[in-house]
Amino acid sequence: MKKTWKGAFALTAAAAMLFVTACSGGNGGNAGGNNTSANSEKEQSGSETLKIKVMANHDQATLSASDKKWIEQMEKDMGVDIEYEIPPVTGYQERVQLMLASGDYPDLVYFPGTNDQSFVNAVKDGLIVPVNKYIESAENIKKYTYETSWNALKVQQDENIYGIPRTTVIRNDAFWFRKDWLAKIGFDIPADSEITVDQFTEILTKFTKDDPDGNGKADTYGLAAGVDGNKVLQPVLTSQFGLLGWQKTEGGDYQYLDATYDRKSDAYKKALDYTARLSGEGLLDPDAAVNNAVSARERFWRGITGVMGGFAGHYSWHSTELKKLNANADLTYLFVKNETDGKVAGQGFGVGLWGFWGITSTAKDPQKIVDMLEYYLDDANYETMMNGYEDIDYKNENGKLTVADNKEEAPVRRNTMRRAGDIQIYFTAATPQEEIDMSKPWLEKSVNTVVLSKNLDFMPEASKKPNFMDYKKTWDQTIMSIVLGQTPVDKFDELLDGWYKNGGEEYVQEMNAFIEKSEGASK
Amino acid sequence: MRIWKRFEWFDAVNYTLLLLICVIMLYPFVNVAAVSFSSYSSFLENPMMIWPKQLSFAAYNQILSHPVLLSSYTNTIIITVCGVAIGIFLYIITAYPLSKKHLKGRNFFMVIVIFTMLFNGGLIPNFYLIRELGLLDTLTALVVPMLLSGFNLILMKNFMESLPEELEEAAKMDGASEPYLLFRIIVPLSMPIIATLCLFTAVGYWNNFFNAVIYIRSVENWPLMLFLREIIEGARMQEISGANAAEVGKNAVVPETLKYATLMIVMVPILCVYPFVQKYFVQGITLGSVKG
Repeated sequence: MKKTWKGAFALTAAAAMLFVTACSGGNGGNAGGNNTSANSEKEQSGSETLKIKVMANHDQATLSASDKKWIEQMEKDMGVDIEYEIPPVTGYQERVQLMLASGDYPDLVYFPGTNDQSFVNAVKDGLIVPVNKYIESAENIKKYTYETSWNALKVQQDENIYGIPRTTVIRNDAFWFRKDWLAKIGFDIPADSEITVDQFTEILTKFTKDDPDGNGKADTYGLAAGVDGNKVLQPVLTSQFGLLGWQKTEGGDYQYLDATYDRKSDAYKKALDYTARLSGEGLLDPDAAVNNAVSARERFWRGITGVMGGFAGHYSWHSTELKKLNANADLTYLFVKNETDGKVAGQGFGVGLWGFWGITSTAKDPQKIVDMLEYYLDDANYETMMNGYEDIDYKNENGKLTVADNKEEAPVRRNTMRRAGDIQIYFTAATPQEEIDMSKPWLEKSVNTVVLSKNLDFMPEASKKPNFMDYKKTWDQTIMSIVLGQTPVDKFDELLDGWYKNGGEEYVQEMNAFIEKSEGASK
Repeated sequence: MRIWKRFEWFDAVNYTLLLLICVIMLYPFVNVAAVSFSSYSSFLENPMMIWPKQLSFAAYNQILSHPVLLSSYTNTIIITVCGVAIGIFLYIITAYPLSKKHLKGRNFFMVIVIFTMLFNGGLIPNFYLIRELGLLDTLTALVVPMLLSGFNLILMKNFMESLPEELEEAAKMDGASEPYLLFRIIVPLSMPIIATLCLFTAVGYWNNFFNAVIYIRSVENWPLMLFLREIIEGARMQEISGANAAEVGKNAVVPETLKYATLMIVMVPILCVYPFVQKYFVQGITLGSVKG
């Protein structure tokens, strides 16, 4: 017993020593800074070098060789020292809140959206500064940013712009179809990649009922679907019935209205009715009500469903996954035409912002920070920014470019700044030419057929009021119920009346005031 | 005879029910193990498998070569070992005096302990505290805040109160000092509760990720659970919450086999602790909670 307890105390003492040693070593002394500066080992030759602290949100918190090389190059070219803090993706929001509360601000912070509460509060508190005067000389940023993005960043409803957009392509996403299944059911793919709503329905029906995988079992379904972030299954087709977000009305009570809230329009009811019909006929994935985006996609890859909504630049991703299970599987991308005028048009995702960069009030040299972001878009650096470096990101074998061995992702290089409308970013130097030739027309069509909603992601104050937020639950439950065919579509009229009574009226008025102002400003 | 039959029927239902519960409990674990040793294509074919198909160690090879796994594993082991050892020592030296009815101000100290179970400073004040102590981005920040839990302390105190006072009196008559009494008489008798608290605190330290999200900045100081969370939830969280589909990188979406292999690597060590402390576990809990 004596030996046992001597051992136990020895263990405790050893643990305490280990604890002290482990905790005081390594990065322990680096509490205020970060590990990820590519130049951390570089000797500081004096106090002249400007240090830029960046708080970024990327898929990986470690810097790859490609990222390090890019940052080193940027530091050398710009004469700055860049220090990155990349918190875990799953805790970014908390870290931003803490950073803002702590008073220890980096120079540049990534925010996911203009409605992000941390950002809104930071602007109100003067912690994020307007960038208007700093972007005057940033020709590339001005040239390659959507006007809607700038407008969305005027969050105080004045001329001040509170961030530099991380631009993403504004596009009208369509649907991936199993090409091998289409061949099986005898459907000829149109050269212009456009089909009607009736053809869409016909394909879904045949994919569900005609055994397109040829296994002799009725185990396939038309459309992959899943609930959104609010756990609601949304209508499958929207723009095809005239739902294009907030647009100018032709007379009526309001100058601008989203057809969803237009009592005189039956566009949303048609969209609901269509999805309810698909659901009732079993053409939707039967797990749609419990799927999320990830599980819906996996079921598409598994060959349970044959059609899935998605981005036109993801051919190699989806086809690679499909081929893991079925080497003969292939894909094509089709747009569903508007029911009324037979044209392809769809509401774009957001306002071209894939988040944005805010400059904090403690930044020593905001102009230099904007110049750093400008560096990404400069012609001299853009190709490297997109494709990376030979032998790190790609290799050149007798003129043919292929993906480098052990290639790592380089989010700092590739995902910090983007050029508006540039679809080339979705290919790399190593993307096969055949894939580019095939995907480019789809990408171009998705960019060219986009219709911008005039609300610019603006969130009226009315939407934050308790009655409005409470009614949102009723709204979501009813929409889900209608879409699943459990509630008649006509119930929507009652739902909409309730919405107007529970803050919707105020919401629409505020939105109209905002759009009038932003439309006036953009003219 | 009738009674016997009734018992048999009762037992059958009981066993069936318990078996069903066992299956429900074990199935996710078996499924995770099976998928982790299967090829990705076989997972796509049958995600609900309970036996590996197309046996493959690719996921383990990939995850074991991940640069962050080793450092995060080491960090978690350091945090857990230190947290348990220091924590148990603190529980012993705090609970022992509190278990003495003659201790002056005992109720006051107990109120303070119970107060911490009901109220705490909150996220931002705790962050300020850790920052002002200079502990940001150190493993200490992951150990110290969780060292003493009011609930565990009360369990330990109650257990020590339940020990026969005669033992102490006898030792004192033989000339034993208070430290001698504590470490040579009380602590050996308290093994059930010590083992139980070892398990509680070890699991608590092993599973904690949120403190790391808040206090840790360097990837080198990430604990295992934060690494696991990034692997499992990283891209998924963004996508489910309605991320921009065009920017959901195919490389950011981790294959399920890799996620499951990571889960296995993270789960198995802490599961191995249970059999060693199980014999103390039930005894420790019941004894500690009876006497208040």
